[in-house]
Amino acid sequence: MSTILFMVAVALILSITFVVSYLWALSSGQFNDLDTPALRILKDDILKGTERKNHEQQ
Amino acid sequence: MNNNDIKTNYYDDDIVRKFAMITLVWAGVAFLVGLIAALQLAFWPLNGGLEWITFGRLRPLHTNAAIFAFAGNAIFGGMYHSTQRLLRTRLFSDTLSRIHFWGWQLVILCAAISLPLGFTQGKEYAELEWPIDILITLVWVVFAINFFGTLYKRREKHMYVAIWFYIATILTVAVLHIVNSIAIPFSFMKSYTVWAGMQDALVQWWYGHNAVAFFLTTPFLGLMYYYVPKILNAPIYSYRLSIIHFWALVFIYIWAGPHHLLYTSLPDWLQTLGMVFSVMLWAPSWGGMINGLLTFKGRWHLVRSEPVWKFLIAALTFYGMATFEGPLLSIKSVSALGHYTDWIVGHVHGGALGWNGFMIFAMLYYLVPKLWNTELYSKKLAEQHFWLGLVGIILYYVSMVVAGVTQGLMWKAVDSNGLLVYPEFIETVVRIIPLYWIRALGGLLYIIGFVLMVYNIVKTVKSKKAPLTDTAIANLVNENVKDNQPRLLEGYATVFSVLALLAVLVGTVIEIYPTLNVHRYVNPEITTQPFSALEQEGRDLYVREGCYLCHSQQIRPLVDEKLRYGDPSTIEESIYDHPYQWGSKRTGPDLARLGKKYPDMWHYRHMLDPREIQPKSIMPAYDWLAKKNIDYSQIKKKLNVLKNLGVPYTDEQVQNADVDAEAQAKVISEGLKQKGVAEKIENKEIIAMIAYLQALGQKGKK
Ligand code: HEC
Repeated sequence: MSTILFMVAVALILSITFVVSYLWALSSGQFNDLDTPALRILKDDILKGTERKNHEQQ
Repeated sequence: MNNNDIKTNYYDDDIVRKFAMITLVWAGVAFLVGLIAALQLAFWPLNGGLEWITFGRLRPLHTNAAIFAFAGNAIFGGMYHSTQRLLRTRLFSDTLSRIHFWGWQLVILCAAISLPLGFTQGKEYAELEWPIDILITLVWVVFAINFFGTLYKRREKHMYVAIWFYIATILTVAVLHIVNSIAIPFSFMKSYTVWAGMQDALVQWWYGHNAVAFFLTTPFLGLMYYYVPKILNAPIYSYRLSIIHFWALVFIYIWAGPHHLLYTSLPDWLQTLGMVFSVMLWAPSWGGMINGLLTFKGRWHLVRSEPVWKFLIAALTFYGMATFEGPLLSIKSVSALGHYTDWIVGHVHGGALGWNGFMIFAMLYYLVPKLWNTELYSKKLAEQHFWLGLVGIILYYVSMVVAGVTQGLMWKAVDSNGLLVYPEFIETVVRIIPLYWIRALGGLLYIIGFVLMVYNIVKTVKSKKAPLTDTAIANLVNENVKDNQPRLLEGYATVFSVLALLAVLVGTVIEIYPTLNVHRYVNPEITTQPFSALEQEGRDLYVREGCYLCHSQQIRPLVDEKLRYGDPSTIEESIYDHPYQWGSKRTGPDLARLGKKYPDMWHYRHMLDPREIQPKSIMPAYDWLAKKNIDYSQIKKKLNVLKNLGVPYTDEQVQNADVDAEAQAKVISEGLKQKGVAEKIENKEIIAMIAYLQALGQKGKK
């Protein structure tokens, strides 16, 4: 019995925490931009060939 | 001109090359040892009568090599490669990277030596003894500093989702390893875990399950979120889904451990919790799989000509299969049939060979040409590798599920008179031996595919066009760093890490804290006697030989088990067991109530050659137990450590441990002598083993 009460309390606290943190995430703009992060990783930003040589000589 | 532009910065590619190559080496070892172990179950003499490679010692070598050497090195390589690119900076410290690399290889080397020698803590996937555990911890700390240092000096404010999975991995594995490995040493290479009985089982499977979760899943999901988009040159299907995927997965996974202990004497509320959370896990797991697979949307027609894409698709599909089957097996009634059988072995190999193996192969096929600045030697060979591997996994998986279900049903079969249809355990073993051969064939095909890969990679590396250099980073002025609408969570690495750790710790604390005081669950009317000194000595031999990898010591409250093995196991019976030996697989019968079932002489003959008693047995012969002397020199220290851990030995028992043990050994060996054993055996290990086997199930009585 005491285990059940304990678990119910834990479940309540957890679910409230989740709702609150979700609302916070939504209102603080955590979900504002869901496109660019996925695209940004595709760009390599590396130096190759002559570009690299020129850069290294600077 | 911007200051940043003056000096050229480079990624550390050398360390990635190192990890990539060593991954191939250890993969070969892990696969080969696995194949030998599999063949030993079909044909026992394959252990060559050598104690170092009997099944009980080879199996930990196989699992450790597969998880920590093969998957581990691949993870480190992939993480170091992708992290630098995602954070647009070189790794924090070249020195730490190299300490990490060589330190980890040292750990693996120590494992490869100590496991065959029989140094083990007797806990699955956590077998390594305490000095190696400490070494692992040190290397892991070096790894963590290197990784978080890189995060700190990153030139990209936003942390891509792969990085989140890496963070969760590093933090959680550290917690898991330390908590599960806490042990008190009594000699240079031997120790007893501080956890006992049911508590040890819980901690062990909290660890064991989350080794799957945070060593074989989260890092691989991180790699998936990076390499799938990179290889396809397309963004991940849904970034939104990946956020949900991450948080749901790390939060839920950690609770699922008790699904390995359904119907055992673990308290019911923990079993229920483990079952419920396991079923919930299905949702985020499939979210991740769908996210990966849908990234291929609109590109499916290209799959035909791209073997690497095939590997990725198959890997994601196997991930989906394994994460569907896992929740299914966690349902109590399914567990009643599947647990202890080869079905579980099939399940893990679907995950390990399909998901982990194929992800790693895809990653290496992509990375090696890039890192060596060349093209893959042969796409055709890669294609052949894929099909061989796929057929191999399917043969493996199907044969094991059929074997598991067949044997499970045979164990359970009860006739109309309420009697077991197959009372002889060996009948159920003989029935599935053909399937063991098919499994081995599946493994062989997988290995042949792998050999093609090694050849392909070696050829690729040899075809490198120019001397190897590190990739130069373009020093773009990074606009994201000045992002005026930052997403707090992904900008602040520390806050993020703390939150991820909290998500993991909630389940841990709720499940483990209440059982820290095991005695709360013990019926005070039952007094459990600790093992005598000689029996304890025998128990250590049982652990050394890895008997627990073929024998369980935990009878479930199910009709057939009661008929076959006796009353269900209780918490009290194993309350002084450091480590617990409940086991997870019944290649042989349960031994929880073995004591007094047979005379000593039966055990003597059976241990020396099981075929003498049971002609069809596949159990190894343990004849060296009759040749080696019992080492009484540690026995007082052992009992003393156990006493300090709460086992109720009196001071006299500790003081007289050696004398008591020798006296008991004399009684047993005299008995055997009367039955006709001519050899001088009174101080041989077999006597201690017999003492232990006869004590099983005799200690926790009202
Ligand atoms: C490769 C798996 C395997 C390993 C490892 C193994 N056994 Fe067995 N064991 C079996 C099988 C199969 C049987 C059933 C056939 C038989 O009786 O030999 C069995 C039977 C037994 C039995 C008889 C149980 C009964 O109730 O009839 C005992 C006792 C036993 N094993 C002890 C051990 C001990 C001790 C070790 C470790 C030193 C060990 N086994 C290691 C597979 C294994």
